[in-house]
Amino acid sequence: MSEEKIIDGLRKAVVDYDEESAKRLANEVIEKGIDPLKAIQEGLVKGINEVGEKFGAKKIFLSELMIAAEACLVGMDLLKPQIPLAKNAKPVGKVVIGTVYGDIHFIGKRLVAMMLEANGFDVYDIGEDQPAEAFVDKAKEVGADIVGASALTTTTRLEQEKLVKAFRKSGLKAKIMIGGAVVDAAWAETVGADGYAKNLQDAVTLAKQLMERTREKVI
Amino acid sequence: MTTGKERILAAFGEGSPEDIPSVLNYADLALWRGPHFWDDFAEGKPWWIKDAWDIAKLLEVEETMQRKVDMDWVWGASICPSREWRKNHIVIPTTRAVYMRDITPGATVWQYIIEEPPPEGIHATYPNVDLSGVIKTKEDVEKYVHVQKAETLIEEGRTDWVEALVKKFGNEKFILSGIDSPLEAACDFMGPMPSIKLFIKNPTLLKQLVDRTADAIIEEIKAHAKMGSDGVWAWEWYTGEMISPAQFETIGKPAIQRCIHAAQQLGLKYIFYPTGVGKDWQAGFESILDMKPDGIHLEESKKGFDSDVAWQASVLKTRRLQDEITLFGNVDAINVVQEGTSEELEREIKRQIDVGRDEYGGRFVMDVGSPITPETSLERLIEYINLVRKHSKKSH
Repeated sequence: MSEEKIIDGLRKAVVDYDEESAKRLANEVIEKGIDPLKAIQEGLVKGINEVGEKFGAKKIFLSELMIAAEACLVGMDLLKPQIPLAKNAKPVGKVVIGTVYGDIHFIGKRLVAMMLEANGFDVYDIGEDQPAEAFVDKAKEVGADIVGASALTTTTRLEQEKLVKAFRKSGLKAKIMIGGAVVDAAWAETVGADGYAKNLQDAVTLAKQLMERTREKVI
Repeated sequence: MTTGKERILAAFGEGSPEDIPSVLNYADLALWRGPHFWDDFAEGKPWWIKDAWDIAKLLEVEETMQRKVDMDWVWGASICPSREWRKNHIVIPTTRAVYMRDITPGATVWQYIIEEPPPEGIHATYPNVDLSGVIKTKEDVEKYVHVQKAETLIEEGRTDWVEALVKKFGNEKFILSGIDSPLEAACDFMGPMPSIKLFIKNPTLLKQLVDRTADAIIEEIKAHAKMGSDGVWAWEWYTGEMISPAQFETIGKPAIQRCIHAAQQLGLKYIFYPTGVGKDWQAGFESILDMKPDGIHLEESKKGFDSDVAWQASVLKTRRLQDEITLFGNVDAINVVQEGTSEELEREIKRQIDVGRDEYGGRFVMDVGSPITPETSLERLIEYINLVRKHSKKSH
């Protein structure tokens, strides 16, 4: 199979929710010495972005999106270690992500984590029902650039405010982005977060913007 | 003077009192454990009485809540731990921590710390046991997913809380029991990610699981009916953007339909609360309506979906369901109840009541779309109830 076909096969495996093909083709990329970065960007990421767009247009549902993301990650896990250091010395950014204390919802957070990872971020998912201190501790440990906090119920969004306060108090410079069904841009502003993402695509765009803002400050 | 129970039954087409009923869903979740709500209602009782399932004290809390926030129903008549469990679990408060001591002979873990609920309230607990590596066949489903007979649930005292609520409030208030929905319950057995995969990778096994959990839920429904509940509330979250209407139709609907029939045959009203449902998922909404639950309650419109009560009423009316399905209001718990001005709250309540009473024809119960937030004050809840009463006359 040609390089072009293999890479397009990776894209198709994601679009078709086909974990097995993603695994097989990723191994083929390695065996044939194809550029793994190209395979990720033009195959897997292209595929997951296509699926993300379909989801955004309400043509597919979360169950499909999650399985596509899993197929993408199976391929990524195999290909990422193959990327030569020179090309991938640093991730796009480091993100600590979790669902706030008292809230057990995981799907939106998980998907955002997957999409960020697919777009080159190093993602540290601390899970659900996590107190503000757990976010702070993990961010400190990994040197996070961004912290993402999800709240999906009317009774738990206050925790996002606590989280922002805990970060400001800690002195860490990580940018904080929030999301979840019961919050919006106004709430992000109220609690002093650095940004709000309405959906998956927004989350990726926002994370990239926050990274740019971080770099601008450094410069 | 009509009772809350009469008002709600009238909204289900039984009798004809004048007023549209006024309720708050998930009253136990949001009210009992919010930072100030506990103080408002518990009158000095310690927080751990819920962990210990001290039914006598919990009844007093419920009574205070009902006195202060005069809802037409009692929400949360759920299955509780068995009599044996309650006898063998003792709360030991110390200056360092609060312990739950298990005095069951031979108990492996005999004491553990229980924690004060977070200020924003307790979250729903669900098994979330990942049996995806274990349950592979129909036989596995039958082996690992237990169906406890209604008689056993009653004998073990697991319906004692329901029974206590019925005895205390049953003449005045509509007693609403909380039950699982089969699809959501089935997925809990497989762990979140594996269960979502099953929708695509192995729908046959998922359907077998769903059928099995429906068997268990039907036994619970029978137990609730035996205890004297008036209705059941079933929350389903595998709806809306979670799964396609076609997946709901083939995997969830047949089992949910069985539960609805079981409840209706026993004289219980079945109120269905599917989350994330709005105009974009209308095919799924119509599929839900096909099942003819007694009541339909959608969350308020949130990002990504529009579930305005006027849209719901128009869909139901187009299908001529005004005399079969009771519509529930869904006032926005954050933007209106918590943060809206008094004028905004009154305007929204009046608008929804006008839809329910005038456009839909009266089979309508006024409620909020989601649980009340911890930031909402007790005074605001009382204002909400009073405003519903003010605008709720069926004839005006």
